[in-house]
Amino acid sequence: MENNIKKEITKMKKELHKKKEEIRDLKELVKKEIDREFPSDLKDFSEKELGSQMDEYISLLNKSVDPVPDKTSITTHRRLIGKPVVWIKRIMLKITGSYITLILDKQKAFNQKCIALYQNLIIHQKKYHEKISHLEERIGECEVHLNVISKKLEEIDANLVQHRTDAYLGKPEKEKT
Amino acid sequence: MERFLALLKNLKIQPHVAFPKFLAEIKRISHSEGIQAAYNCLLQAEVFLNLRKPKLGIYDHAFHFIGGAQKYGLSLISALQDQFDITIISNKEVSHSHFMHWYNLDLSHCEIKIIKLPYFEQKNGLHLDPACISKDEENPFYLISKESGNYDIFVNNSMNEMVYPLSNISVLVCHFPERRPKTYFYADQYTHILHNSQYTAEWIKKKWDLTPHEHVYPPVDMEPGRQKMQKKKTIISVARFEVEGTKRQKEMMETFLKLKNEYPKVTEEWAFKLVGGSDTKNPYLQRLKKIVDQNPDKNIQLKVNIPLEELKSLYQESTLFWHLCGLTHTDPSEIEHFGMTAVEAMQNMVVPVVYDGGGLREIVDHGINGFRVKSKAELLHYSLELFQDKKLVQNLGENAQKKSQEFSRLKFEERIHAFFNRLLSSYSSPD
Repeated sequence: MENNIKKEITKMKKELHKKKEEIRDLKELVKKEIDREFPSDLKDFSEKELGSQMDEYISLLNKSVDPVPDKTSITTHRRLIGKPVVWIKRIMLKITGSYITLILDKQKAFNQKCIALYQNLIIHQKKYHEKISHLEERIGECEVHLNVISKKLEEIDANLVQHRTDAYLGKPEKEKT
Repeated sequence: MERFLALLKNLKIQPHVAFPKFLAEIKRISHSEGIQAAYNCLLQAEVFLNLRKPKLGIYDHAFHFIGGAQKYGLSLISALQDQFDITIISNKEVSHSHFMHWYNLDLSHCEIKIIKLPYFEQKNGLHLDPACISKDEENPFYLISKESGNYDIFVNNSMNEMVYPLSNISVLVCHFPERRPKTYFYADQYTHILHNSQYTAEWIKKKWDLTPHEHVYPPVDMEPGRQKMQKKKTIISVARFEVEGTKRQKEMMETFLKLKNEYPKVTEEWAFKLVGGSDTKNPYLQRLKKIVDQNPDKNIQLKVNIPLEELKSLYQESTLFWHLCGLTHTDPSEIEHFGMTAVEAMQNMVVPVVYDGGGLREIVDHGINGFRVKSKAELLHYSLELFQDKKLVQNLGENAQKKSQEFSRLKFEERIHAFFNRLLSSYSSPD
């Protein structure tokens, strides 16, 4: 019986394996949705993460700096009436093009300045960050020095007390080393 | 699933009666839960009925590189070779001899399977970076996900949460949660998460909102041989020369130079040796070389890509170990997640003076078996103290060696065996 079970299981496994290999989509393989959206809270982000997030935003802004529509942006999903609709839209774009460009050129210039301003602010922030790091390092050094000095002061203070007590009791002064 | 498990138990007691029902149940599962679920049931049945050894597949998208995380994963399967039929899944060509040469691990009983990912093959790079995959692209790791469904246990050892596990038991070895949950994030789909340090566990909770299941420190095996070497006035640093300079070798050099300039008498005989691996074209390493060249009389040496034997003798002859990785970090991933080289030094009675953060806090107890510092100034201060106090060096060194035993290969293997035995017992004889 054990042999039969083994044979049957192997056979069934082979069949399933073959079917498995034919399926490309994991969702189909497990019969459930596997991808989800994950909201993220920028407040929890580290400096490095915020930095790369900013770079990502800047590159997205750069991509959409020019609001002037080009011909190829007019497309259709309609099978039958799609072509004439596209044709009409393109004609309209051609007619109104010069007026639209007049307005949108201003918008483009504004967008470019905004991006330049953001980039400028980022550089400023980086420079301030460097300065703060440098200051923190200096403060750290000072703290260590201060610790050493206060330890030495305590030693001197203790020696002084000892010295005064010895003098009061009339003990002979210790040999200086 | 309960119905299936009940049938599975009956299969042992009354095979004639239970087997037809068992087959029908498999078909039902295939229809309702998908082909993979049905396949998984058959895999479990085979192990339950002792028809074969359990199969374990381990994946790392960086197995073709030498690294601490990869050593962890391969040490893990090295400990399990007798219990499982093991397959090592890699995306690039790699061989048993590489593993032997890099980590001194004989994995000849394990099969190596290379699954090339077309997305990265087109890019022609050796480095596969999951972070570069955007939402608009197809997940290139789906091929690995599909492969994961052929094993009883699938272990994902890479810092790559984009592999959706399909096996009955899936273990994500998390060396650090580098990315936040976003496109193709599947860490929460693994049945178990194993972590390498408490620091990593803390960030798994913070970044992923998940509680990891098992904690196993990495294995460290740099114990000295029987022959004792005379300690020299040497400070050693062992860390990869990262292009971004995250291991902070430059800052350590600056501290050493400051010590040499401000305390010439005390530091007269002391040398600083920086050991690490690097690519040939590394601008950061070039900058370090320049500093060394500019200070020829200061006894600083760079030792790049040296053989293991040389590293061993350097550990044995050194007195202090410096490690500042994490200093002025801008992200938790820039701090040492564990700190294997600190343990290696401690195994050789080298007193560690390390950055106070990350996994290093779990290794070095301040003032007991070394010092933890938060700045270059503190590094200078404590090192100066150690230069002038031989007894302190001796005491801390002895304590360091004692503490290092907690991270030995033996301890690692014990913990791994205990964990996988638990997994296997509930899998092969479910209640």
